Amino acid sequence: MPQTQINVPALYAALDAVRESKGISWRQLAREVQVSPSTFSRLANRQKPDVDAFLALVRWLKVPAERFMTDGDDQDREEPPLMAELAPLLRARRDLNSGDKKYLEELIGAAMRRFAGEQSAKD
Amino acid sequence: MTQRWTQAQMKDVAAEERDLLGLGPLDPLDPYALASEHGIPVYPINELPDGICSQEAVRHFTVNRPKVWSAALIPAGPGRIILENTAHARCRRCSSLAHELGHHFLEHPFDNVLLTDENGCLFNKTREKEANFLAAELLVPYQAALKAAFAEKTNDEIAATYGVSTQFAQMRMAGARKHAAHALARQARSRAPGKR
Repeated sequence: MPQTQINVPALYAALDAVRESKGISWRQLAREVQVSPSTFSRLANRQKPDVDAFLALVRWLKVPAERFMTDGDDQDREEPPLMAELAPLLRARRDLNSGDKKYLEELIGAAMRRFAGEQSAKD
Repeated sequence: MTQRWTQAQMKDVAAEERDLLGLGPLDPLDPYALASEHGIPVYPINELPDGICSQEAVRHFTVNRPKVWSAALIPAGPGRIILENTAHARCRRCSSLAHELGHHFLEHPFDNVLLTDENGCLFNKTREKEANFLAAELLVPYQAALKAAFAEKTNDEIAATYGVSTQFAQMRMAGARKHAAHALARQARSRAPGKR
């Protein structure tokens, strides 16, 4: 029998859309909803919120909690991307040469594949 | 949303984050614990699975050119990953990690350029300065630096207490030591004979 779960990507997307429309940061949103700022980092990385945070978030969204509940089989199956589409924020010397960048890109690609593998294993 | 941060706002962010870990303003902070609190995985480059990453790439940054790169905050859709160079000492890795977390907490945007794009600009001076400021405030809050300055702690003592390098401690303490020296000089002047 499928287990009911929170559809974390859908919840995150709904929060992001309303946050954007209000022109506020994630931190401001955390203060407004009175949840920990780490709640949103965790959601972004597909980690489930605790019950109190989940209820506070859906209350703030003014939508029924059921909207974000799915059966296990019905989860949003969108996989994390395997290639970086945006440049990372680096702590590096400014004179990175083309060899450095090539190897860094390879390491970043490997990190993204590891991340995607770990996310899939959790789903 | 991109915003310019004031130092007071960044101090509030650091205090909020330290509070998440139950830390007071004088306590040392473990940036790995903070990343974990945010659900952000930190991958050391020597722990990337064989087969998806060449040893040549790892050796490039651990042996051949260890000084050129320390850490990266990587966007993976809405998620975030931090990749760190394991060639560096633990204290340097901690400050690099705090710097990358600083970018995340300040919600710095990612540029729409490829890493290998020769014409793309990978470094934004303002964002880097903000991330440095927040990292310093996370690891050694100004209140702690000031207290250490009044207590005349050495850079080595501060480094050992807060898990940072002596260079980091020296940089962090510069302003606090100046502040403490001025305060002590003022106090001495006010106590001098003929002063009330």
